[in-house]
Amino acid sequence: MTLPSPPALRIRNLHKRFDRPAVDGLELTIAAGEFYALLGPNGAGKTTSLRMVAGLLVPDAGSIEVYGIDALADPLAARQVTAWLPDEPMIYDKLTPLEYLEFVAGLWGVPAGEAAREADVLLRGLDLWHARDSRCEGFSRGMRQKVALAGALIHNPSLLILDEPLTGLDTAVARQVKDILTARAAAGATIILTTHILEVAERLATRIGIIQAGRLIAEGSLQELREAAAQHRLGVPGPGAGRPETLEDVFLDLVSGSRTESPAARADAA
Amino acid sequence: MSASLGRVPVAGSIRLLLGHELRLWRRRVSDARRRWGRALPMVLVAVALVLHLVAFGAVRMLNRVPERIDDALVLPLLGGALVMLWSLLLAQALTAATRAFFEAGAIDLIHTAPIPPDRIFATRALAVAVITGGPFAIFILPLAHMGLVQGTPTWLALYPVLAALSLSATAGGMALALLLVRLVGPRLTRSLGQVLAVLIGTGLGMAVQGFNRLPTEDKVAILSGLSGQTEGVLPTLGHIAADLGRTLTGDLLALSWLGVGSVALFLLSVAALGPAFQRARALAGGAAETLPAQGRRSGKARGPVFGRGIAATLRHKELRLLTRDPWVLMPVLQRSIALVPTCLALAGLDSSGNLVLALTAPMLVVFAGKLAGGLAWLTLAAEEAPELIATAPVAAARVARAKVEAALIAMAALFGLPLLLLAVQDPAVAAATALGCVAATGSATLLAMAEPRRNARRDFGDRFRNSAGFAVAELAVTLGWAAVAWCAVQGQLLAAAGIAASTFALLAGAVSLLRGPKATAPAPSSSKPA
Repeated sequence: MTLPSPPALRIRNLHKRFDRPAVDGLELTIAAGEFYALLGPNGAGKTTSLRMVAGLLVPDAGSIEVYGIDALADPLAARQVTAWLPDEPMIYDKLTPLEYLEFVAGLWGVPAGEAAREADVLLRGLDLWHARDSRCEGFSRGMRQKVALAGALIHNPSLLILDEPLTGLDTAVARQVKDILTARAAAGATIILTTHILEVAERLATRIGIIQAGRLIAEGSLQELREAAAQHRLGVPGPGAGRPETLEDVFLDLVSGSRTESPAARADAA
Repeated sequence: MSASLGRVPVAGSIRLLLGHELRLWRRRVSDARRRWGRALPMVLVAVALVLHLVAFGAVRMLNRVPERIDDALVLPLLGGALVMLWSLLLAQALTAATRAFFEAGAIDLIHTAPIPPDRIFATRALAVAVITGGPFAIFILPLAHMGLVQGTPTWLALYPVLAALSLSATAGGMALALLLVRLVGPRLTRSLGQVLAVLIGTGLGMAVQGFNRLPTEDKVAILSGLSGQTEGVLPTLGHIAADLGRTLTGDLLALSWLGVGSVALFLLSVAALGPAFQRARALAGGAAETLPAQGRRSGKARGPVFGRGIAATLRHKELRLLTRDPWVLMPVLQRSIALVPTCLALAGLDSSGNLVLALTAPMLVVFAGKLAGGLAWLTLAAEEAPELIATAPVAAARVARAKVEAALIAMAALFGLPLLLLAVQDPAVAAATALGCVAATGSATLLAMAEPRRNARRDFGDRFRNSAGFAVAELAVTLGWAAVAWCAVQGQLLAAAGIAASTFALLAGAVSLLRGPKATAPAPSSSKPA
């Protein structure tokens, strides 16, 4: 008998308050190897939640476990297996992409041979090879985002957290980023991303969570969410009744309701 | 709808643009009021009172000066004082004009609006004039008020004189900034403009110190020439200076000439330089082009070194960034040059007569303190990718230690050779200087570590603006160690020990005050909660 591996991320009763509650009792479990999209309207608490997972914010209450490691008690161990990629690329203008990768690999203590090989693969795969010796100061937003993504991947993280990674990228660059994320997920990495581009979540994610007012209001595969939204419509009188087709319909239906239970909760109740 | 908007100025009018600037200024003042709370009015009244008290004494002393010097020299000396004031205004205007090229963000909105460029330039030029004259007004105008109180209303002439000099200095500063852009390009203008401003601002101060060191007979000859008692170029200069000085006596004709001339010069520069300013601004905006790091490199010969230790990786990154962008340290050089006239004046107190050696110790210590403070700020507070560092599996203390080590390595590299050369000249002076440099470096680094604010690297020149306490502490502690080195070189060891103890106490107090309450977040970030 083999013991089940711990989930990539387990969040319990997470709270964070600024002027008002930003995250309000969030419960979230993501299995290892999942490609998870976290959706929600502006100010719903997506970025705040993920910043707490990355160790950039201290929660007011709750617990965070990354692959079974208590991220609040042992943050360095949790960071060792995690990569964080915010919407604003975290790069240095005066360094070249190759030097940037050298720096990030050094921070994560990646062995020299492995880092050199991985840098080569990433720079070629992200079409940065021709610019590997040019300083980043003149790069376009897409180039900068690709350099940052290469940095996030060079230490081969088990958990990759991306906050709006495709914002402001042109179609070609967005495609490259999506391809490389899909490949990583296929290789066994767990990927969590927030996005406002619902088509990205619809096409890439194996599971989607919708967060509103700091709480998870719905979660499941696209199919499960459709059913949840359809049930929600049944309870709403008027022309909106019927089965929602796109994720956009589902998303708008679910966040427009004041309180909605997750499909899992509905199943439990049934 | 239109009625609810009330009186809207004509689209793109100078009134609208100036109103916009004024509103932004009012918001900044109200922010300060919020920060200081009820204490602000009291602080302002107290500062005004102190300035007027100092001005009262100064006016009393200056009113007696004409009794003590040759009548023929009074007006040229007043004119000389105004030339010195103008050079300081010119330096300030050059700095403000250079900054105007690189302003971005909200100002881009104005530049993309369908407003004639000369109108935008006129508003920017007026803003530069206010920025230029404003700080001087705070210190100079109390003299006018106290002159009136003491029964010499001619001091009120300072009002129109300062306004006129500010306008003409603005015209000069704008022209100089544009000339620099033309000569060296926008990238270097930002740094060289600052250096040139310091040289202009301190040039006359150095010249006065140089004059003080001349033999007495030479000084008498120059003063005789300026008062018109000899022939040559000096009497002409004396005449011009006297005409300028006449404005301070309330001479209406002289004041009219100065006023009309300055306004005309300002308007002429606005009309003539507007298009060039727009071009320079556009050039500055596109100045950050892709630059090869060191040309193409073969992966094995000079490529990156993977597999360094974490501390070595961090140190290497910081040193690499410093060597890639040495211009970022230009404000340190700027402030250090500004101290030269003061040091020259201090050197007059030296008993040994060896000017160079006497100057070296305190100047090197001051330079060390300022440079170390700057380097520590760049490595600790101006981290470009704080979230990358904060999410790396490295303890914050280890990161800070590696960064401080990088700053200290840079200091050792910069100061090793000068100290070695000094040691060859005079080992005792070198030892005192080295100790002073180490103390100043350590203190400045400790202060930078205690200052919790995060900043962008490009804001290096303005790093003191956000924290007056940090600025005062760094200056006071650095000057304290310079005084210790000075006393040690002069052989006054007891005084050196006393000042060292006071400086150490000051440092300890400043560090504990700056630290304040501990932040709850493990890493600051520019991102807002979402």
